[in-house]
Amino acid sequence: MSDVEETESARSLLLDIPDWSGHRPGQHVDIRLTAADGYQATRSYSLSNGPEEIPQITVESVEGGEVSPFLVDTIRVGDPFEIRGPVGGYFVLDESDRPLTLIAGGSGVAPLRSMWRAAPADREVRLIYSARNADRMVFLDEVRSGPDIITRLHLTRDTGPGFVGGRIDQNAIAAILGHLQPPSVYVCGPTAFVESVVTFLRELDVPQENVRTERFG
Amino acid sequence: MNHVDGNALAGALTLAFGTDMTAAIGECAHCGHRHPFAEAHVYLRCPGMVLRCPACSGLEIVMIESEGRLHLSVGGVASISLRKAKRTSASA
Amino acid sequence: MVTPGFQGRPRREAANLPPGQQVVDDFPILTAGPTIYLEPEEWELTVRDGAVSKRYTWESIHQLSQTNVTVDIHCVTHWSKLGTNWSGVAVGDLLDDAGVSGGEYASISSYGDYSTNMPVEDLVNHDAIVATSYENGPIEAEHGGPVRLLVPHLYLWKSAKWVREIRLTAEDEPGFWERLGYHIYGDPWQEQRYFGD
Repeated sequence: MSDVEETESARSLLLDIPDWSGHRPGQHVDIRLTAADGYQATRSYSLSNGPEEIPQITVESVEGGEVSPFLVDTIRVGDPFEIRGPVGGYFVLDESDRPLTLIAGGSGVAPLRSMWRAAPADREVRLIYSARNADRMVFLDEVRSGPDIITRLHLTRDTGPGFVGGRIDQNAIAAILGHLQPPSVYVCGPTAFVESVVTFLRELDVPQENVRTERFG
Repeated sequence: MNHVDGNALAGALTLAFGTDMTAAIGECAHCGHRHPFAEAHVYLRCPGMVLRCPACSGLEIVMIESEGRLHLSVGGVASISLRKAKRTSASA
Repeated sequence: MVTPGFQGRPRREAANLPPGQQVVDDFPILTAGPTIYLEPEEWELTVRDGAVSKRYTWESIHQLSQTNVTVDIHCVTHWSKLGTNWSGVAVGDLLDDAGVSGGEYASISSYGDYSTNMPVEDLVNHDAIVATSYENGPIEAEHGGPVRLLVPHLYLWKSAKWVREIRLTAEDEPGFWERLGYHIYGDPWQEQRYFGD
């Protein structure tokens, strides 16, 4: 296992998993940590690398959290933990040629990265991504310099060149949905974020069968 | 909102049913709403894993893991519809 | 497989804890469904047996003799919190006031679909109260406010949040977690977590 420091509060862990045979973009793994006295905690993390790449999870440290601060600040390369997966058959990239709209709230960007890295070169990808401030945005260089992803980046508690200030609202969704054909839409983030985005998509008459969601706490 | 969705139970449901269930369509036994299990409301901060109907919040599935056992209660699910996996072909 | 350096939530051993428990200093919130939000004036509690039924409101429950308890609480998920302070009405006093009798067991229901059960003896002869205050303030909705049951000598799942009804019954009727495989009684000192323990 090795690691990449993504931001001050987020870290990607590249995993060394025996018998790994790849994953579908959007899938996640369940990990279980055991303390010396037997106490256990389990969490799910999305695979943030493409299907052909070394499996990787990207963890954002949650203040007061039991597991994420440990994974971001403490765990060392080589430390073992138990893992189950990859799992998930709903929130996975489809194989259609419909354009792709990815909507990320905070660390919800992780499984969407797996999707944009897996999408074939001729599939149009648009990303709208919201975070509190630019320091917390993971993969920022990649989304800005990646030639094939049209992006709209929102900061809810900050502002700056290249960013839209404020939460994603219905107009922001309408602006990013400017594909010629109806897109496949994937939304991932905290529950409240996903619920509001789903409402906006419904108001914009995006067919529900083309929308897939993943809500985490 | 203190819930997540059924995607969080993908691993546990695969353990219980032997296949991914997040894309399977469940029918709520309380109100009849049909939805992918991925879209159910899931409560993880309790002595078990609780999956509720996204329309009426009725209890659908509860999973309790204890030493060496997984206990599953599915009384709140009236029916389940899954897509069949393609058969692989072989030849003699 | 131990992951070096992983500790989990801050917790500690202490003397006089039930087996398998550790002390935490925060107050974890565990819930099996959506949080119920009720204004005190919206809340009502019905106490009944087969024949008699009495309804209490926020106002009328405060007219009964108030009790203050400082107790340790133990959750089946292995955390304990020491010295928590609650006030409300002793359940024994409540059942007397309601005039209910003739049932060896009680089924307790909450707003929402939660329920639990226990012998009446456990509601009456221990520090069990219908709690209207925690640490000298209102009980937060996430912790079962405005009014919850508190039965500290049993695992905390027996202390039903958002308590709505206490019904005396002839049989022990398993509630929400009891039906799903948790122990019908739930004594932390005998580590009665699951059915058959």
